[in-house]
Amino acid sequence: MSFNSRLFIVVIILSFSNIVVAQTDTINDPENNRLRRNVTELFIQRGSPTGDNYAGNGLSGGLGFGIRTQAYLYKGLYIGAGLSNDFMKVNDMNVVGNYDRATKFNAYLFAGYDYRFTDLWHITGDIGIGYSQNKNRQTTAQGGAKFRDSGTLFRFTTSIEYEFTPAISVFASPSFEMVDYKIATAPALSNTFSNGNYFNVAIGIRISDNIASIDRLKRDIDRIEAIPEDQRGGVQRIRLKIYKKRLARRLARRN
Amino acid sequence: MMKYLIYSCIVIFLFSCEARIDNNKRALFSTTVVDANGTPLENVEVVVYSGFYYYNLQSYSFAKFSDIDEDFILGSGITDSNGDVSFLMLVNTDEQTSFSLTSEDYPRRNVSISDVNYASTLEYTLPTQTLKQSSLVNLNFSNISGTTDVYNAITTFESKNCSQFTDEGIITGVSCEDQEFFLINQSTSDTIVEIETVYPSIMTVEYEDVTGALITEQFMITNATESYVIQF
Repeated sequence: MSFNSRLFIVVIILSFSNIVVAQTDTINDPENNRLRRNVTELFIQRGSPTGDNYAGNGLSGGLGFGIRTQAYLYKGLYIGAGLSNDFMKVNDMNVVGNYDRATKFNAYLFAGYDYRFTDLWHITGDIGIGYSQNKNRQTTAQGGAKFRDSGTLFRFTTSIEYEFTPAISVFASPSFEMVDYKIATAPALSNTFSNGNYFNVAIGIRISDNIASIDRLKRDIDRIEAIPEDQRGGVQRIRLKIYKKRLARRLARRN
Repeated sequence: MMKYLIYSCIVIFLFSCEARIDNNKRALFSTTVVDANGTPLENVEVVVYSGFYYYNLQSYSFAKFSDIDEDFILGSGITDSNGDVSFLMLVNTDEQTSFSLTSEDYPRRNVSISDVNYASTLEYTLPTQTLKQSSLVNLNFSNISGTTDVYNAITTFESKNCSQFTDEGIITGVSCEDQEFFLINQSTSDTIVEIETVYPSIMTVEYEDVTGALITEQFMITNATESYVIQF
Protein backbone atom coordinates (compact mmCIF):
# COMPACT_ATOMS: atom_id res chain seq x y z
CA MET A 1 0.00 0.00 0.00
CA SER A 2 1.43 3.36 -0.98
CA PHE A 3 2.14 6.12 1.51
CA ASN A 4 -0.61 8.29 0.00
CA SER A 5 -3.19 5.53 0.44
CA ARG A 6 -2.17 4.99 4.05
CA LEU A 7 -2.32 8.70 4.78
CA PHE A 8 -5.74 8.90 3.17
CA ILE A 9 -7.00 6.11 5.44
CA VAL A 10 -5.61 7.91 8.50
CA VAL A 11 -7.46 11.09 7.47
CA ILE A 12 -10.71 9.11 7.03
CA ILE A 13 -10.28 7.42 10.44
CA LEU A 14 -9.62 10.80 12.05
CA SER A 15 -12.74 12.17 10.41
CA PHE A 16 -14.91 9.31 11.71
CA SER A 17 -13.35 9.47 15.16
CA ASN A 18 -14.38 13.11 15.24
CA ILE A 19 -18.04 12.12 15.07
CA VAL A 20 -17.59 9.95 18.15
CA VAL A 21 -15.53 12.52 20.03
CA ALA A 22 -17.91 15.32 19.09
CA GLN A 23 -20.67 13.65 21.05
CA THR A 24 -18.64 13.90 24.25
CA ASP A 25 -17.36 17.43 23.71
CA THR A 26 -18.63 20.02 26.14
CA ILE A 27 -20.26 22.45 23.76
CA ASN A 28 -21.14 24.82 26.59
CA ASP A 29 -17.60 25.11 27.79
CA PRO A 30 -16.91 28.82 28.49
CA GLU A 31 -13.73 28.47 26.39
CA ASN A 32 -16.01 27.90 23.43
CA ASN A 33 -16.18 31.66 23.09
CA ARG A 34 -12.47 31.80 22.43
CA LEU A 35 -11.40 33.54 19.20
CA ARG A 36 -8.15 33.08 17.38
CA ARG A 37 -5.92 36.05 16.78
CA ASN A 38 -3.30 34.32 14.66
CA VAL A 39 -2.07 30.83 13.96
CA THR A 40 1.31 29.55 12.86
CA GLU A 41 1.69 26.03 11.56
CA LEU A 42 4.63 23.79 10.82
CA PHE A 43 4.09 20.75 8.67
CA ILE A 44 5.63 17.94 6.71
CA GLN A 45 3.96 16.83 3.56
CA ARG A 46 4.10 14.39 0.74
CA GLY A 47 3.54 15.94 -2.67
CA SER A 48 2.55 14.00 -5.74
CA PRO A 49 2.73 15.50 -9.23
CA THR A 50 -0.47 14.67 -11.12
CA GLY A 51 -2.08 15.19 -14.50
CA ASP A 52 -1.01 14.90 -18.09
CA ASN A 53 1.84 17.40 -18.01
CA TYR A 54 5.59 17.28 -17.66
CA ALA A 55 5.46 17.21 -13.86
CA GLY A 56 2.75 14.56 -13.69
CA ASN A 57 4.40 12.33 -16.27
CA GLY A 58 8.06 12.85 -15.46
CA LEU A 59 8.43 13.62 -11.76
CA SER A 60 7.69 11.56 -8.67
CA GLY A 61 6.86 13.07 -5.32
CA GLY A 62 8.77 13.00 -2.10
CA LEU A 63 8.68 14.45 1.36
CA GLY A 64 8.56 18.17 1.95
CA PHE A 65 8.09 20.65 4.73
CA GLY A 66 6.66 24.09 5.20
CA ILE A 67 5.43 26.86 7.41
CA ARG A 68 2.29 28.98 7.24
CA THR A 69 1.10 31.82 9.35
CA GLN A 70 -2.31 33.39 9.29
CA ALA A 71 -4.06 36.32 10.94
CA TYR A 72 -7.76 36.29 11.73
CA LEU A 73 -9.71 39.27 10.44
CA TYR A 74 -13.26 38.53 11.53
CA LYS A 75 -14.40 35.42 13.38
CA GLY A 76 -12.95 32.53 11.33
CA LEU A 77 -11.98 34.60 8.31
CA TYR A 78 -8.22 34.71 7.90
CA ILE A 79 -5.43 35.77 5.57
CA GLY A 80 -1.88 34.50 5.64
CA ALA A 81 1.37 33.62 3.95
CA GLY A 82 3.09 30.29 3.44
CA LEU A 83 6.42 28.82 2.42
CA SER A 84 7.12 25.22 1.49
CA ASN A 85 9.84 23.03 0.05
CA ASP A 86 9.21 19.67 -1.63
CA PHE A 87 11.78 17.20 -2.83
CA MET A 88 11.03 15.31 -6.02
CA LYS A 89 12.83 12.77 -8.18
CA VAL A 90 12.89 12.57 -11.95
CA ASN A 91 11.42 9.28 -13.10
CA ASP A 92 11.45 9.94 -16.85
CA MET A 93 14.19 12.13 -18.34
CA ASN A 94 12.63 11.84 -21.78
CA VAL A 95 9.68 13.84 -20.44
CA VAL A 96 11.28 16.47 -18.18
CA GLY A 97 14.85 16.77 -19.46
CA ASN A 98 18.25 15.51 -18.49
CA TYR A 99 18.36 16.05 -14.73
CA ASP A 100 17.98 13.93 -11.63
CA ARG A 101 15.96 15.73 -8.98
CA ALA A 102 13.99 18.86 -8.28
CA THR A 103 13.24 20.91 -5.19
CA LYS A 104 9.93 22.74 -5.44
CA PHE A 105 9.80 25.99 -3.48
CA ASN A 106 6.50 27.78 -2.98
CA ALA A 107 5.86 31.24 -1.53
CA TYR A 108 2.24 32.35 -1.50
CA LEU A 109 -0.50 34.41 0.12
CA PHE A 110 -3.86 32.94 0.98
CA ALA A 111 -7.27 33.74 2.38
CA GLY A 112 -9.80 31.35 3.85
CA TYR A 113 -12.16 30.41 6.62
CA ASP A 114 -11.64 28.44 9.82
CA TYR A 115 -14.81 26.74 11.01
CA ARG A 116 -14.93 25.27 14.51
CA PHE A 117 -17.61 22.62 14.37
CA THR A 118 -17.11 21.26 17.88
CA ASP A 119 -15.17 22.58 20.81
CA LEU A 120 -12.02 20.74 19.79
CA TRP A 121 -12.30 20.26 16.05
CA HIS A 122 -11.83 22.69 13.20
CA ILE A 123 -11.98 22.46 9.47
CA THR A 124 -10.32 25.11 7.32
CA GLY A 125 -10.26 25.94 3.65
CA ASP A 126 -8.32 28.59 1.80
CA ILE A 127 -7.19 29.60 -1.63
CA GLY A 128 -3.81 31.06 -2.36
CA ILE A 129 -1.72 32.60 -5.09
CA GLY A 130 2.03 33.00 -5.27
CA TYR A 131 5.32 31.97 -6.79
CA SER A 132 6.55 28.45 -7.41
CA GLN A 133 10.03 27.43 -8.44
CA ASN A 134 11.49 24.04 -9.20
CA LYS A 135 15.23 24.04 -8.64
CA ASN A 136 16.48 21.23 -10.83
CA ARG A 137 19.80 19.48 -10.33
CA GLN A 138 21.84 17.05 -12.36
CA THR A 139 23.90 14.25 -10.89
CA THR A 140 27.66 14.56 -10.96
CA ALA A 141 27.72 12.12 -13.87
CA GLN A 142 25.31 14.37 -15.79
CA GLY A 143 27.55 17.37 -15.15
CA GLY A 144 26.14 18.67 -11.87
CA ALA A 145 24.34 21.65 -13.40
CA LYS A 146 21.50 23.50 -11.73
CA PHE A 147 18.66 25.42 -13.33
CA ARG A 148 15.15 26.53 -12.51
CA ASP A 149 11.61 26.24 -13.78
CA SER A 150 9.26 28.80 -12.29
CA GLY A 151 5.71 30.00 -12.57
CA THR A 152 2.61 31.31 -10.85
CA LEU A 153 1.15 29.15 -8.13
CA PHE A 154 -2.56 28.68 -7.44
CA ARG A 155 -3.23 26.65 -4.34
CA PHE A 156 -6.33 25.27 -2.66
CA THR A 157 -5.76 24.02 0.88
CA THR A 158 -8.10 22.27 3.29
CA SER A 159 -7.44 20.89 6.73
CA ILE A 160 -9.03 19.10 9.64
CA GLU A 161 -7.62 20.06 13.03
CA TYR A 162 -7.81 18.72 16.56
CA GLU A 163 -6.95 20.95 19.52
CA PHE A 164 -4.88 19.42 22.28
CA THR A 165 -4.95 22.71 24.15
CA PRO A 166 -6.32 26.10 23.09
CA ALA A 167 -2.81 26.98 21.97
CA ILE A 168 -1.63 23.74 20.39
CA SER A 169 -3.36 21.55 17.87
CA VAL A 170 -2.52 19.00 15.21
CA PHE A 171 -3.91 18.82 11.72
CA ALA A 172 -4.03 16.87 8.49
CA SER A 173 -4.22 18.88 5.32
CA PRO A 174 -4.86 17.79 1.76
CA SER A 175 -4.06 20.49 -0.79
CA PHE A 176 -3.99 20.90 -4.53
CA GLU A 177 -1.60 23.12 -6.44
CA MET A 178 -1.66 24.29 -10.02
CA VAL A 179 1.47 25.97 -11.35
CA ASP A 180 1.30 28.03 -14.51
CA TYR A 181 4.90 27.62 -15.70
CA LYS A 182 6.63 30.16 -17.92
CA ILE A 183 8.83 27.58 -19.63
CA ALA A 184 9.77 28.46 -23.21
CA THR A 185 9.76 25.37 -25.39
CA ALA A 186 9.98 24.13 -28.92
CA PRO A 187 6.46 24.38 -30.45
CA ALA A 188 5.97 20.60 -30.31
CA LEU A 189 6.41 20.57 -26.51
CA SER A 190 4.49 23.67 -25.40
CA ASN A 191 1.36 21.96 -24.07
CA THR A 192 3.35 19.61 -21.90
CA PHE A 193 5.35 22.31 -20.12
CA SER A 194 2.75 25.03 -19.73
CA ASN A 195 1.50 23.80 -16.37
CA GLY A 196 2.03 21.32 -13.56
CA ASN A 197 -0.37 19.98 -10.94
CA TYR A 198 0.52 18.67 -7.51
CA PHE A 199 -1.58 16.97 -4.85
CA ASN A 200 -0.17 17.19 -1.34
CA VAL A 201 -1.10 15.65 1.97
CA ALA A 202 0.39 17.36 5.02
CA ILE A 203 0.38 16.70 8.73
CA GLY A 204 1.60 19.19 11.25
CA ILE A 205 1.21 21.23 14.36
CA ARG A 206 -0.58 24.56 14.79
CA ILE A 207 0.28 27.11 17.44
CA SER A 208 -2.59 29.49 18.12
CA ASP A 209 -2.60 32.86 19.74
CA ASN A 210 -6.16 33.23 21.06
CA ILE A 211 -8.17 36.18 22.18
CA ALA A 212 -9.31 35.48 25.74
CA SER A 213 -12.95 34.51 26.13
CA ILE A 214 -15.56 36.90 27.47
CA ASP A 215 -16.18 34.64 30.43
CA ARG A 216 -12.56 34.40 31.28
CA LEU A 217 -12.08 38.16 30.97
CA LYS A 218 -15.03 38.73 33.27
CA ARG A 219 -13.57 36.30 35.79
CA ASP A 220 -10.20 38.03 35.69
CA ILE A 221 -11.78 41.48 36.08
CA ASP A 222 -13.89 40.28 39.01
CA ARG A 223 -10.83 38.77 40.66
CA ILE A 224 -8.87 42.04 40.47
CA GLU A 225 -11.84 44.18 41.44
CA ALA A 226 -12.32 41.98 44.49
CA ILE A 227 -9.09 43.39 45.81
CA PRO A 228 -9.60 46.73 47.55
CA GLU A 229 -8.48 49.53 45.29
CA ASP A 230 -5.84 50.85 47.66
CA GLN A 231 -4.31 47.38 47.97
CA ARG A 232 -3.93 46.77 44.20
CA GLY A 233 -0.42 46.77 42.83
CA GLY A 234 0.66 48.65 39.70
CA VAL A 235 0.60 45.56 37.52
CA GLN A 236 -2.89 44.68 38.68
CA ARG A 237 -4.14 48.17 37.86
CA ILE A 238 -2.65 47.99 34.36
CA ARG A 239 -4.05 44.50 33.81
CA LEU A 240 -7.49 45.63 34.90
CA LYS A 241 -7.42 48.43 32.31
CA ILE A 242 -6.31 46.03 29.56
CA TYR A 243 -8.91 43.41 30.50
CA LYS A 244 -11.69 45.98 30.50
CA LYS A 245 -10.65 47.28 27.09
CA ARG A 246 -10.48 43.73 25.71
CA LEU A 247 -13.85 42.89 27.15
CA ALA A 248 -15.37 45.98 25.58
CA ARG A 249 -13.87 45.05 22.22
CA ARG A 250 -15.04 41.47 22.47
CA LEU A 251 -18.55 42.46 23.43
CA ALA A 252 -18.68 44.96 20.57
CA ARG A 253 -17.45 42.30 18.15
CA ARG A 254 -20.00 39.77 19.38
CA ASN A 255 -22.79 42.27 18.98
CA MET B 1 49.52 39.29 3.02
CA MET B 2 47.52 41.06 0.31
CA LYS B 3 49.06 38.74 -2.27
CA TYR B 4 47.76 35.64 -0.46
CA LEU B 5 44.38 37.27 -0.11
CA ILE B 6 44.23 37.88 -3.86
CA TYR B 7 45.36 34.31 -4.59
CA SER B 8 42.69 32.98 -2.25
CA CYS B 9 40.05 35.08 -4.01
CA ILE B 10 41.19 33.75 -7.38
CA VAL B 11 40.99 30.14 -6.17
CA ILE B 12 37.53 30.72 -4.67
CA PHE B 13 36.44 32.42 -7.90
CA LEU B 14 37.66 29.52 -10.03
CA PHE B 15 35.92 26.87 -7.99
CA SER B 16 32.75 28.81 -7.35
CA CYS B 17 32.24 29.68 -11.01
CA GLU B 18 29.62 27.40 -12.37
CA ALA B 19 28.22 27.53 -15.86
CA ARG B 20 24.52 26.86 -15.77
CA ILE B 21 21.71 25.64 -17.89
CA ASP B 22 19.13 28.18 -19.04
CA ASN B 23 16.17 28.56 -16.71
CA ASN B 24 12.67 27.95 -18.04
CA LYS B 25 13.72 26.49 -21.38
CA ARG B 26 13.30 23.17 -23.18
CA ALA B 27 14.38 22.45 -26.75
CA LEU B 28 13.90 19.62 -29.21
CA PHE B 29 16.93 18.03 -30.84
CA SER B 30 16.65 15.93 -33.98
CA THR B 31 18.99 14.57 -36.61
CA THR B 32 19.63 11.54 -38.80
CA VAL B 33 22.76 9.39 -38.75
CA VAL B 34 24.01 7.49 -41.79
CA ASP B 35 27.18 5.65 -42.76
CA ALA B 36 29.56 6.59 -45.56
CA ASN B 37 27.25 4.92 -48.12
CA GLY B 38 24.22 6.86 -46.90
CA THR B 39 22.68 3.84 -45.15
CA PRO B 40 20.78 4.79 -41.96
CA LEU B 41 22.53 3.66 -38.79
CA GLU B 42 20.51 2.20 -35.93
CA ASN B 43 21.44 2.25 -32.21
CA VAL B 44 23.79 5.20 -32.43
CA GLU B 45 23.81 7.07 -29.13
CA VAL B 46 23.56 10.83 -29.58
CA VAL B 47 24.53 12.91 -26.54
CA VAL B 48 24.22 16.70 -26.53
CA TYR B 49 26.42 18.53 -24.07
CA SER B 50 27.44 22.09 -23.30
CA GLY B 51 30.73 23.57 -24.43
CA PHE B 52 33.24 22.97 -27.15
CA TYR B 53 34.89 19.60 -27.27
CA TYR B 54 38.18 21.47 -27.56
CA TYR B 55 37.80 22.63 -23.96
CA ASN B 56 37.56 19.15 -22.56
CA LEU B 57 40.68 19.39 -20.46
CA GLN B 58 39.62 22.68 -18.90
CA SER B 59 36.19 21.45 -17.98
CA TYR B 60 37.62 18.27 -16.53
CA SER B 61 40.16 20.11 -14.45
CA PHE B 62 38.10 22.92 -13.00
CA ALA B 63 34.38 22.65 -13.54
CA LYS B 64 33.46 19.24 -12.24
CA PHE B 65 34.32 15.57 -12.33
CA SER B 66 32.16 14.37 -15.19
CA ASP B 67 33.38 12.42 -18.17
CA ILE B 68 36.41 14.03 -19.76
CA ASP B 69 34.59 14.38 -23.06
CA GLU B 70 31.45 16.00 -21.71
CA ASP B 71 30.49 19.06 -19.72
CA PHE B 72 26.80 19.34 -18.81
CA ILE B 73 24.75 16.70 -20.57
CA LEU B 74 21.77 18.46 -22.12
CA GLY B 75 19.98 15.46 -23.63
CA SER B 76 20.48 12.09 -25.25
CA GLY B 77 18.79 9.58 -27.50
CA ILE B 78 19.29 6.49 -29.66
CA THR B 79 18.73 6.36 -33.41
CA ASP B 80 15.92 4.16 -34.74
CA SER B 81 16.03 1.85 -37.77
CA ASN B 82 15.75 4.88 -40.08
CA GLY B 83 18.76 6.48 -38.41
CA ASP B 84 16.48 9.16 -36.93
CA VAL B 85 16.74 10.43 -33.38
CA SER B 86 14.66 13.09 -31.66
CA PHE B 87 14.67 14.01 -27.98
CA LEU B 88 14.01 16.72 -25.45
CA MET B 89 17.06 18.71 -24.45
CA LEU B 90 17.99 21.40 -21.96
CA VAL B 91 19.51 24.64 -23.22
CA ASN B 92 22.98 25.91 -22.45
CA THR B 93 23.54 29.37 -20.96
CA ASP B 94 26.61 30.04 -23.07
CA GLU B 95 26.35 29.91 -26.80
CA GLN B 96 28.32 26.78 -27.53
CA THR B 97 26.89 23.31 -27.60
CA SER B 98 28.29 20.06 -28.96
CA PHE B 99 27.00 16.58 -29.51
CA SER B 100 28.63 13.21 -29.80
CA LEU B 101 27.72 10.22 -31.93
CA THR B 102 28.70 6.91 -30.37
CA SER B 103 28.26 3.49 -31.90
CA GLU B 104 29.76 0.07 -31.26
CA ASP B 105 30.91 -0.14 -34.88
CA TYR B 106 32.27 3.37 -35.34
CA PRO B 107 34.64 5.70 -33.53
CA ARG B 108 32.98 8.43 -31.54
CA ARG B 109 32.43 11.66 -33.47
CA ASN B 110 31.93 15.07 -31.83
CA VAL B 111 30.24 17.96 -33.58
CA SER B 112 30.17 21.56 -32.33
CA ILE B 113 27.19 23.78 -33.01
CA SER B 114 26.27 27.31 -32.05
CA ASP B 115 23.18 27.95 -29.93
CA VAL B 116 22.63 31.34 -31.54
CA ASN B 117 21.01 29.71 -34.53
CA TYR B 118 18.43 27.83 -32.50
CA ALA B 119 17.73 30.19 -29.61
CA SER B 120 14.61 31.71 -31.15
CA THR B 121 12.80 28.49 -32.05
CA LEU B 122 14.42 26.04 -29.61
CA GLU B 123 14.31 23.46 -32.41
CA TYR B 124 17.75 21.95 -32.89
CA THR B 125 17.15 20.29 -36.24
CA LEU B 126 20.58 19.19 -37.38
CA PRO B 127 21.50 18.09 -40.91
CA THR B 128 22.26 14.42 -41.56
CA GLN B 129 25.40 13.24 -39.76
CA THR B 130 27.76 10.73 -41.34
CA LEU B 131 29.71 8.24 -39.28
CA LYS B 132 32.88 6.82 -40.73
CA GLN B 133 35.31 4.11 -39.66
CA SER B 134 38.65 5.12 -38.21
CA SER B 135 41.85 4.72 -40.11
CA LEU B 136 45.49 4.90 -39.08
CA VAL B 137 47.69 6.36 -41.79
CA ASN B 138 51.48 6.04 -41.78
CA LEU B 139 53.31 8.63 -43.87
CA ASN B 140 56.94 7.73 -44.58
CA PHE B 141 59.02 10.68 -45.79
CA SER B 142 62.02 9.12 -47.51
CA ASN B 143 65.09 11.20 -48.34
CA ILE B 144 66.35 10.13 -51.79
CA SER B 145 67.93 13.46 -52.78
CA GLY B 146 70.46 13.42 -49.95
CA THR B 147 69.55 16.94 -48.83
CA THR B 148 70.27 17.91 -45.25
CA ASP B 149 67.74 20.74 -45.15
CA VAL B 150 64.80 20.51 -42.72
CA TYR B 151 61.40 21.15 -44.29
CA ASN B 152 57.96 22.06 -43.06
CA ALA B 153 55.10 19.79 -44.03
CA ILE B 154 51.34 20.16 -43.56
CA THR B 155 48.87 17.31 -43.64
CA THR B 156 45.19 18.05 -44.10
CA PHE B 157 42.77 15.23 -43.29
CA GLU B 158 39.26 14.48 -42.06
CA SER B 159 39.01 14.49 -38.27
CA LYS B 160 36.63 12.50 -36.09
CA ASN B 161 35.48 15.84 -34.69
CA CYS B 162 33.52 18.36 -36.71
CA SER B 163 32.10 21.87 -36.50
CA GLN B 164 28.87 23.03 -37.99
CA PHE B 165 29.21 26.37 -39.74
CA THR B 166 26.37 28.79 -40.07
CA ASP B 167 25.89 32.15 -41.67
CA GLU B 168 23.18 34.40 -40.17
CA GLY B 169 21.34 31.42 -38.80
CA ILE B 170 21.51 29.33 -41.96
CA ILE B 171 23.57 26.16 -41.81
CA THR B 172 26.20 26.36 -44.51
CA GLY B 173 27.90 23.06 -43.84
CA VAL B 174 29.69 20.75 -41.49
CA SER B 175 33.46 20.78 -41.59
CA CYS B 176 35.54 17.96 -40.18
CA GLU B 177 38.83 19.15 -41.61
CA ASP B 178 41.90 19.03 -39.41
CA GLN B 179 45.57 19.80 -40.00
CA GLU B 180 48.86 18.60 -38.59
CA PHE B 181 52.15 20.47 -38.92
CA PHE B 182 55.52 18.77 -38.61
CA LEU B 183 59.16 18.93 -39.67
CA ILE B 184 60.77 16.41 -41.97
CA ASN B 185 64.42 15.44 -42.44
CA GLN B 186 65.42 16.35 -38.90
CA SER B 187 67.53 13.19 -38.65
CA THR B 188 69.37 10.96 -41.08
CA SER B 189 66.67 8.26 -40.91
CA ASP B 190 63.31 8.53 -42.67
CA THR B 191 60.59 10.61 -41.01
CA ILE B 192 57.53 8.51 -40.17
CA VAL B 193 54.31 10.29 -39.18
CA GLU B 194 51.22 8.53 -37.86
CA ILE B 195 47.87 10.22 -38.39
CA GLU B 196 44.46 9.11 -37.11
CA THR B 197 41.66 9.86 -39.53
CA VAL B 198 38.52 8.24 -40.94
CA TYR B 199 37.71 6.45 -44.16
CA PRO B 200 36.62 6.94 -46.84
CA SER B 201 38.31 10.33 -46.92
CA ILE B 202 41.04 12.28 -48.64
CA MET B 203 44.37 13.21 -47.11
CA THR B 204 46.50 16.00 -48.53
CA VAL B 205 50.24 16.44 -47.82
CA GLU B 206 52.06 19.67 -48.68
CA TYR B 207 55.82 20.20 -48.41
CA GLU B 208 58.71 21.90 -50.20
CA ASP B 209 61.11 19.90 -52.32
CA VAL B 210 64.86 20.56 -52.59
CA THR B 211 64.29 23.24 -55.25
CA GLY B 212 61.90 25.12 -52.96
CA ALA B 213 58.82 24.25 -55.01
CA LEU B 214 55.60 23.49 -53.10
CA ILE B 215 54.60 19.87 -53.63
CA THR B 216 51.03 18.75 -52.95
CA GLU B 217 50.09 15.07 -52.82
CA GLN B 218 46.66 13.59 -52.21
CA PHE B 219 45.82 10.11 -50.94
CA MET B 220 42.49 8.32 -50.86
CA ILE B 221 42.01 6.71 -47.45
CA THR B 222 39.91 3.60 -47.92
CA ASN B 223 41.16 1.16 -45.29
CA ALA B 224 41.59 0.89 -41.53
CA THR B 225 45.37 1.12 -41.97
CA GLU B 226 47.21 2.81 -44.80
CA SER B 227 50.89 3.49 -45.52
CA TYR B 228 52.29 5.93 -48.02
CA VAL B 229 55.86 6.70 -48.93
CA ILE B 230 56.70 10.26 -49.94
CA GLN B 231 60.09 10.72 -51.51
CA PHE B 232 61.89 14.02 -51.53
